Amino acid sequence: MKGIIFNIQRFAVHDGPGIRTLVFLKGCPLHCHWCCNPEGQKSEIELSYVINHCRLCGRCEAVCDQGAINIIEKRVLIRRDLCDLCGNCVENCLSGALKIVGKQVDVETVLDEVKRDEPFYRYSGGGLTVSGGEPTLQNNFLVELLKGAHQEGFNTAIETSGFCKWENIESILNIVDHFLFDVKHVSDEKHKMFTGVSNKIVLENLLRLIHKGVNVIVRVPLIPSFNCDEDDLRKIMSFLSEFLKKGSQIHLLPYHRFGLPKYDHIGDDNKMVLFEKINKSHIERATQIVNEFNFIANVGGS
Amino acid sequence: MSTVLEEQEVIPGEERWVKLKARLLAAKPELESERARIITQSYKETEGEPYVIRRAKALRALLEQMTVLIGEDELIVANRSKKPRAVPVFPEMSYDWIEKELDSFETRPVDPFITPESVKHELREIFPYWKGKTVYDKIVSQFTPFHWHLLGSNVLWIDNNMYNGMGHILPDFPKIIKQGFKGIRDEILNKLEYLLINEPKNRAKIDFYNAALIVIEAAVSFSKRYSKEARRLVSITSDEVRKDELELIAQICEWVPENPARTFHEACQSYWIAHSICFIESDGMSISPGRFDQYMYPFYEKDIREGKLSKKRAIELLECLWIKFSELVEMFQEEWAYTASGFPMGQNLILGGQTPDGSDATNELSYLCLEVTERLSLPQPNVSVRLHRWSPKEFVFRACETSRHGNGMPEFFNDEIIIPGLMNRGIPLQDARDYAVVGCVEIGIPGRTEANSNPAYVNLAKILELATNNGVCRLTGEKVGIDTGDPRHFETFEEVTEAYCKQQEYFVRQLIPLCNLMERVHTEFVPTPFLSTMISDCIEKGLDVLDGGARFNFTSPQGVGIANVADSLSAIKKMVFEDQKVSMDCLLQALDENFLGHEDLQYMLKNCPKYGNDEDYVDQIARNVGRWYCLEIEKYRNPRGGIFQPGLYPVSVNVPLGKTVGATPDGRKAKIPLADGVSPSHESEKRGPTAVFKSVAKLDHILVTNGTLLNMKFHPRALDGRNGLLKFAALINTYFGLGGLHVQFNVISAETLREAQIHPELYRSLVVRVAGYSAFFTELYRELQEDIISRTEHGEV
Repeated sequence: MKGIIFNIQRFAVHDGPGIRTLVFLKGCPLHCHWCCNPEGQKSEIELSYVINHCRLCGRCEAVCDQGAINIIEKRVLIRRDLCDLCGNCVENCLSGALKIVGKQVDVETVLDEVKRDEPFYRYSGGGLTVSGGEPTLQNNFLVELLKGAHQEGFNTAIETSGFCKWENIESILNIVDHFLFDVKHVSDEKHKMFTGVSNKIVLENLLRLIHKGVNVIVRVPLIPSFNCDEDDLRKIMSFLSEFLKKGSQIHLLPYHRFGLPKYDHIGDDNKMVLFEKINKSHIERATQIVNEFNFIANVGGS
Repeated sequence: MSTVLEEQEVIPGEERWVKLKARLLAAKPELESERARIITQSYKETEGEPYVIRRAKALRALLEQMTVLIGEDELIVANRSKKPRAVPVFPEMSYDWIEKELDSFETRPVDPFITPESVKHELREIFPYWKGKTVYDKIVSQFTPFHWHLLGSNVLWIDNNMYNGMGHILPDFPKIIKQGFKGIRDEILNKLEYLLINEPKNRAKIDFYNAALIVIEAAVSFSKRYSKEARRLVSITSDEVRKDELELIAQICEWVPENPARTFHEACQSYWIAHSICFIESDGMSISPGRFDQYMYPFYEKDIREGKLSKKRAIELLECLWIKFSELVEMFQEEWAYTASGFPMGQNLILGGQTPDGSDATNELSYLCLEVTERLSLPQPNVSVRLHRWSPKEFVFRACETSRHGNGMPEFFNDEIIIPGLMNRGIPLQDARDYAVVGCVEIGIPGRTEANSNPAYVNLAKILELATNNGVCRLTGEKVGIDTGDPRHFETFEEVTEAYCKQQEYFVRQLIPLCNLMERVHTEFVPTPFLSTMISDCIEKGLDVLDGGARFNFTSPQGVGIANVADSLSAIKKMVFEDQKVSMDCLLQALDENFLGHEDLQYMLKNCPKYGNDEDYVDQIARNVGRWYCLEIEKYRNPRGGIFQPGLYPVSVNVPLGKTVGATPDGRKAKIPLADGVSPSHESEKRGPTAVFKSVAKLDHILVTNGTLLNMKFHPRALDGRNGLLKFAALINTYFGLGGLHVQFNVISAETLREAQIHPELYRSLVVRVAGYSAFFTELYRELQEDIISRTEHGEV
């Protein structure tokens, strides 16, 4: 069973209990304006160019059969319409400025990498967290991966937007120990406007998941001018309070701009929408509201 | 870091330690001439007498004549200089460099010292007497041109024992505290009586015992001078509270260290006076308190139980003592100051671990010491913790919490590797379980070991350079090593490693007689009778500790640059022999030309598997490089009846050693710093801390009985909250479970450090750990600051 991943990150400490390895699956049906992993959006592999690493040696230009690479004004310009993603330029890029984002891999290969930190899971209660993109988009691969991890005795978690068929979630119910489930907004209109999709199916899936009695941690990205107003947050919490147990953990994930350069790297024309920077008072107010509803706010995840 | 600054803002007058710390920070390091004057006078008076007696009388003169000083608010007293953070001169060790640099100490970029004109003047008058008499002079007078040629190779760095005392030892402080010098005096008198009857001709032993008696008397009277000074201050102090405090100090200094300590306060004072005298007797660094929580606990427990001591008061006493540690400062020649910048003293104080019978040793005092370390946030003492499989969880968490606080302490040590390692060196289990740490990471059994822990550094990267250049230095073109063949004719990777091992064998074989020569000079001319009263079995044997009196004896040179060698060998293996992407000829040409015009090749070399990323390909090479060094070193014997043993730590000598090494096949350009300790090369680690831990744990740490040093740096964000603490502890536990020996953490952000570079005045108390010890960040020189900043940050937001 093969899937497309775009990163494996060891020593993840904010995505489930303990010390974890994060596997990022490529492809996402959402296009959130604040997305910090734009390279995870498309399902296909992509060519990425990091100008900071580039030494303008020209090797890429020389080896490109398609004539898709030109060095103009001290940077590599990629004609993505001509690029056939053959990878010649990447092989010849010694400084690592050019990279193919996304790799087709089989489950065993991923598990081998995940197993490397097994001793750290043992001491910390950590394990595998599958993230994305939206991991349920590659459902068969996801199922095999989580099954494999469970068989190794690793704790498993997924980070999901919840935007998928219920069947997909159902198929992993017994092999996921922690669902880290995004709730971005309760207003469908706003949700559509800022993520490109409706939140109906998301909230439905969340309800059904909670009903199943599995371990769900709701994660709310705090995005100024999208859901950071007291009113927005209260609505979200009020919605959650109807069926989420008192004392449940809510992860608040403050907006950041660390994804900004990545848009350039992959030549994504849909530039990141820049929101106002988040500040301490945003976070404090959000924490307070979460606490008002008798949930436990956890800023930054754990 | 901000918390440290906030502490500074506490209104003075609230707590004793705040006032003491403010005074400490205000005291600028200063050079003084008092010790030089007194010892010179004494040496002039004792000419012709045996050296051990001369040393004893010199120490007596010092302890009788030195300025005694009781600072405001102090509860623990005794200084080794007229002012806190002032540095006495030890002309009997070496003076040429002081004479040469007298006018530049104040203005030099690294570790500047205030040098008053009167001090300069007096020192210039004193120095001519010492010509030909110093340890340095005695050593170099025995050097042949070949020795100089050898040192010119830049493979061996032996300055430590050439210019300074050996230091690096764990005296038997608990013995002094419990028995008092009175007890030791009785022991010596018995031995002496027996000797005078049975071996009256054994002059050397008789001299040694007589010397020991002289210094013990002197130590007792030194303390009584403090008693007298306290009484003098009582008579002129109007503050009633302070009067009582001074009266108490007077009583305590009257009683200890002559007599057994009866209270916790007495125990602390007795300890401190003995500790201080060690640093007055000789300028050896890293004389370490060792297992402080173990030997102090009985006094603490008894006083608390009997209601004589409150926890608050105990903490206050610890705080007073901690301040005293940071008052001790060492001065080096400018060139050398770069290798150990930040006025380090290496007073390692270790907590927790196991008792000799194998039970957990953690006690209440272990926790209090961590608390005080965290609150005071000072560069000394160098606080460490010992962890074992069943260390209490709370203790591990508390230690992590202190580390997370950001001053780089404590260092963590792994009992499960160190104890078997010591046993492999022939140390019995019960002694091995009682180990403590000297200086940075050097291991010893308190009161029983003379390990000459820091006699030399072996530049492993330079050895590789010579192996790939047929013994010729790439920077000077001079033949400094041996013939190991033209590498262009090597047909297999194994021939490269063989050449490396042969060069290493050659240099280590040359190092041994050098170390032994230096040791013999120390033994003959600067014996340490005072220190010897606190090391078993010196009194039993009638031998100075430098002459083999200790029960366990080692000489322990360090290997530096293991990551560079492993990465270089990995690149050669892959690029030249396996993938054949470059010929040896082209590679060597690129190295000769420092990669100028060979940038493509440099990148390809940089992209080869690198140590620190959990890749067996290169990690196994690193393991071999480490083992080769260890097995080579441990073949040899020292004059004290012990063997040589290896360490893999650099303090910060990796920076100057790097300056002497040309471009290396790992893609490193000429003169760039080498990797520090067993840490991966800068910027070569790409898979985060777990991969680093796994790579480093693949080394054979059990063999490295003089310590390995792993520096890790974390962004505070990665270790936030209780959950962060659990993960932090899990990280250390896992590393230790995998077989690591030591790790220390810098929990700070690069931004903070850059800010501190721009506004040093705002960050006066910022403490940063530099390879095995802590220092004030703003007092480090720029290059080292950059070095710290560039160490890859883990767990960035």
